[in-house]
Amino acid sequence: MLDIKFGEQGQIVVSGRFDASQAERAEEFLSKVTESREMDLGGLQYISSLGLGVLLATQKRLMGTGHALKLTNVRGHIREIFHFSGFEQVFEIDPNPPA
Amino acid sequence: MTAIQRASAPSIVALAVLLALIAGGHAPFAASSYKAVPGWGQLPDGEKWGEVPNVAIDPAGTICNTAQLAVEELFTNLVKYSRGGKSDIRIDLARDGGRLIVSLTDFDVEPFDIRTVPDAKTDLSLAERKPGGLGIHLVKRLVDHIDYEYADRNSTTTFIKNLE
Repeated sequence: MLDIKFGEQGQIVVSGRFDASQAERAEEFLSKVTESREMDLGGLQYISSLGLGVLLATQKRLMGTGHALKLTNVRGHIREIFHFSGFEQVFEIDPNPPA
Repeated sequence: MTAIQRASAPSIVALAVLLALIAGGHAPFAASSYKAVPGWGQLPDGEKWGEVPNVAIDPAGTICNTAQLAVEELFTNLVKYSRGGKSDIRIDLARDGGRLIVSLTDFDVEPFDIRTVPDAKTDLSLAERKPGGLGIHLVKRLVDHIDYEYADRNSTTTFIKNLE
């Protein structure tokens, strides 16, 4: 199950499994984001290509208005998937692993 | 690799547990089948994947996550693009020493070899990039080997993930 919500500092907190079955719900949540935010992925256990597509579409939309998502607390295997997806070129990704 | 069982519609939990057990050396091989319908209803359910008791045998979850990702991407690809596919997609799982071997077979369809799919252009600028097209690209990078067979209108994609 994917959990996606706003944290106390206004960051987007994502945890669980971001797969095909969760993409539509995540897309609906992220459509409410209209300005730059940090996205805390410390609890994200799994992401597939449809989840990546949702993140990419959100970043494209935000960049169109001068805003962006910054990805933080990215776990090792998620970071590997981001790398193979070329996300370093289109997202600012905090280099520090989750505590 | 031999399929010992073909269920008509097992839950995704069964497949995920089998993946974990096989990766951990607790079971030699198994098979399941999933209905290839044009929609997401039969796709691996995230909540149920999360119930897999794989902590003891794959502490970081890396192997199972990679295998599940490859299965999800290949399965969704078959559902979306398989020309003529109306039957279940069979998923065979096996362990051969230090290798996890997973095959997806689609029946009575046109051939489709994912090895011929061009890589996604991941070096484009954000303005040039379009969401989508990453699934097969990721599978080709995350698994250690991919085979393809097409015979009697049955299409089988097999991937190998080294267990180390």
